[in-house]
Amino acid sequence: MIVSLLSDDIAAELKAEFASLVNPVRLLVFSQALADPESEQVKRLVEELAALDSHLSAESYNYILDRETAETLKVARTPAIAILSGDKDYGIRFYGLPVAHEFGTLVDAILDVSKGESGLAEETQAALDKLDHNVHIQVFSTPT
Amino acid sequence: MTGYPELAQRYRVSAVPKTVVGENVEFVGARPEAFLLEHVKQAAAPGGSSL
Repeated sequence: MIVSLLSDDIAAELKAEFASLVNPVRLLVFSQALADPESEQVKRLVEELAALDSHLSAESYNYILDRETAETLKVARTPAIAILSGDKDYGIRFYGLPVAHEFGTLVDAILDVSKGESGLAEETQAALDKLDHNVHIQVFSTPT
Repeated sequence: MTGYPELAQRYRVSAVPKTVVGENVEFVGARPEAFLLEHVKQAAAPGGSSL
């Protein structure tokens, strides 16, 4: 028997949260050719999430074999999750297994991408609009 | 940060959460939105990828 990563309670909570989803969201998982336990867990987590709401879909890519997709999306390492809405890419990537606090961050990112809203203040948005090129922001965390 | 040791080393991550903007602009801890914005502007400024 395969044990779910998401408990029934969490799944029910997420279903309620996902009721506010607007646009479809694609969760693209990139993993390595050889069976890597962390990649497998990321894949399962994303598949379980996608099963909770019809707006969500899980796609699995091989970092080596699907090189073109990985390069187009600038996926830098594995395991990775890219969160897109259709072809609309806000550049959001998660590396590693998003657990504990980072799981909440992943769920928030899914909701934001679906709504097409950053949640940023108007002044922040206005200041960012003035930038003439993309800026790479990396946040390092540890599962606590 | 145990998952990506080469990245942790490259960006000198010794405490988390650590945010790296561009290549050289960085700060540690959960900070307000305006604080992050200032760092983004700094990284985006011409030739200004360091604090």
